[in-house]
Amino acid sequence: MPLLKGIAAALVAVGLAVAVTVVLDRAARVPDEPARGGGGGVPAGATSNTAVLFYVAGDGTALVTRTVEIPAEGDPLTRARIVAEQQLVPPGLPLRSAFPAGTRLRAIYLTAEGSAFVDLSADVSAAHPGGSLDELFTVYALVNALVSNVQEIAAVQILIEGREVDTLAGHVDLRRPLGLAMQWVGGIGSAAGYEEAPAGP
Amino acid sequence: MARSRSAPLALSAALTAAVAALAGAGAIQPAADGITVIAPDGRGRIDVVTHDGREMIALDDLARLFRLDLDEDSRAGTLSVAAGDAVIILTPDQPLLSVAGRLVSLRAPPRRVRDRWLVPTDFLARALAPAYGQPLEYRAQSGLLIVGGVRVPQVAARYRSGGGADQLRLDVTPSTPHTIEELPGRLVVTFAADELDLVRLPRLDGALATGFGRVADSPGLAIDLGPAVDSYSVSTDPAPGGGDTLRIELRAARAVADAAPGPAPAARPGPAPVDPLPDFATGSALRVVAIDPGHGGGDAGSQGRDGALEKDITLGVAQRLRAVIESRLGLRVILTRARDETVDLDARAAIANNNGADLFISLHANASTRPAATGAEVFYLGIDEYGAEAQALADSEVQPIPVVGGGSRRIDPVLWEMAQILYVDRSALLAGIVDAELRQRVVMSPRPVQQAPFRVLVGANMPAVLVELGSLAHPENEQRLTGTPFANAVAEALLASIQRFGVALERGELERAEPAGVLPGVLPGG
Repeated sequence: MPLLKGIAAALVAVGLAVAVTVVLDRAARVPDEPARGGGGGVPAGATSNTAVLFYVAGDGTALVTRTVEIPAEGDPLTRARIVAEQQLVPPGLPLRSAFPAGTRLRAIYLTAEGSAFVDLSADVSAAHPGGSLDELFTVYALVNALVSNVQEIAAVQILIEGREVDTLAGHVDLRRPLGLAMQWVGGIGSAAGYEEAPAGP
Repeated sequence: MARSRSAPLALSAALTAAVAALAGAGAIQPAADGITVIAPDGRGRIDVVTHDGREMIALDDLARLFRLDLDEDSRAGTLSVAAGDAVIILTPDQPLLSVAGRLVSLRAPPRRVRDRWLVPTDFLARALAPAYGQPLEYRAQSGLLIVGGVRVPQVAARYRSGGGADQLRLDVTPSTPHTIEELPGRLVVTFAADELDLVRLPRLDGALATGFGRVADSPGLAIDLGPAVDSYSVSTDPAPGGGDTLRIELRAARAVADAAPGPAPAARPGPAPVDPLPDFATGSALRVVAIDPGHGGGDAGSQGRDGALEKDITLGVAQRLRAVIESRLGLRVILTRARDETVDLDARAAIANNNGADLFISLHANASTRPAATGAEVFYLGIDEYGAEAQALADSEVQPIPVVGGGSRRIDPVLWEMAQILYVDRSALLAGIVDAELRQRVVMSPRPVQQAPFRVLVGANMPAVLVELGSLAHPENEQRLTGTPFANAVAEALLASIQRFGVALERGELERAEPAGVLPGVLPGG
């Protein structure tokens, strides 16, 4: 039976190769239309993890968090991509997204030093309403989401259409990776914390 | 050609004496009013005389004031007037003259009376102005001759009374920033100008306004308020021809009660305590202030629903602030942009750095539509985002080095684009002061003072803050932010902040203050 063992081994190897290719391909490509709803998206029966996402509070003075379920992924790049995509999906009222409508994730890259480079479509700048506070919310919603949910990421630099930029709307310095900044989260009349409301799938 | 250079004259006295002598001959009569010359280096006066029914001025008078060379050719009977490289050639009794090679006609011919040349007053605009090396503007109606870039807006005032609400209307040309100051029993309108050309001065003697006139030694107008005044409101609208129409409405108590709902009127002027202004002329820590009107040109910034643009609001406030700083603190003010133009963020800090500014204030307006987020905010640089090296620099002790002209600078090998790192403590002090002054006059955000990695601040080599004035996206706010009272309130708050900051530096309060972020009245950030 050595021949059968060899065939079986070859099939296993091919299967693994296909699986790895699919995972890598998913990590590299970003769908044009991410799922709507802002509540995460986990297929029935699939394992999931929780992720904390960041949205603008109803009174517009701070970011608040919402916990969602996302597909369990061991690969940090894939997990980062899923978190970033989910972060761009508009939430339900009374929260609102910190990102202008139409903002898409084009690509995401990780370095061994823990920096993530997140490439967004031009809408994030061109359609931004302006104002320094809203710009801070846009930047730190994404930065905080990635640093909070992907252990391997310590800082995030935003790119637009594949290029480094100075700012999104004339205020926040985007020339270098930015780290977690929780001062923009909650805090106004909320001594207990910053969780807006848990939201499950 | 016989050359006879004009002798300098002590103008008024000498010319008046000469005119009197000529008047005795019956040829010339002194006119009622002369011409006032306003130049960057001072004022002068040109006497006007009447000759053959025409108002004339003496050329030797002009020669002394404008450093002209008069060269008379006795055989040809002509006179050459050299203004730098340009030459004006006159012939007695001929209304045509040559100005730098071009023929120009005057309303009356030049006259040679005894040993003096007289020309009609339109010689100033038609001959001297084109030949002179600097701009000259002759305003015949008000008898002003304005030299160089001196700012002399024309102000026509009208007063309308009745119905318990009197209105003073000021038509100002060209558009000129102004401030309105409440003093006990009077309102003072001060323009960002060197002088005022007041062409109409109505008499105010009603129950609400009891007097109106110029403020001595200031480009300002004062309105004396009667005891019946309960409140006032101010509005400014663009006027045709590039001017502004400023309306000041005074209301009696009953008129306020009857008035339709509208913007809240300002409180009745009272004897509010006024801090004495420090003497910044000598020995001050502050000499130059850089004001950065956010956005501009192709970058409009945020936009209100009714079309107000952040770039316009920030420029308007900046110009108003410049006027009050220059006129009341005597400091030099640098604007990173003085008109609607695109200036990139690096250039803004560079302008402040290259002009040796001691303070940098960047003005912006937010865009949040949520009511709770519509107040003003003050930001200074957050250094966490610039890494451990930046933190180490901020913590380092760098001794100030005296510089030429007084004052001192901290010198340390820091990347120019991160110069602000060394000033974070002082910027925090400034931010706390700005917050304290703003909150006395305008609505503040629940997050009044914060730290953030703002691009325009990081390269500033001096204490620097970014002030968000409010949110344009809220309709009521948009109307408020575009109004004169709001701009005046912000300008007054920032003026007081600069004053207090300068005093704090003088007194060494920074050394006694807590570390950045936990100053009294300052919310921790970063």
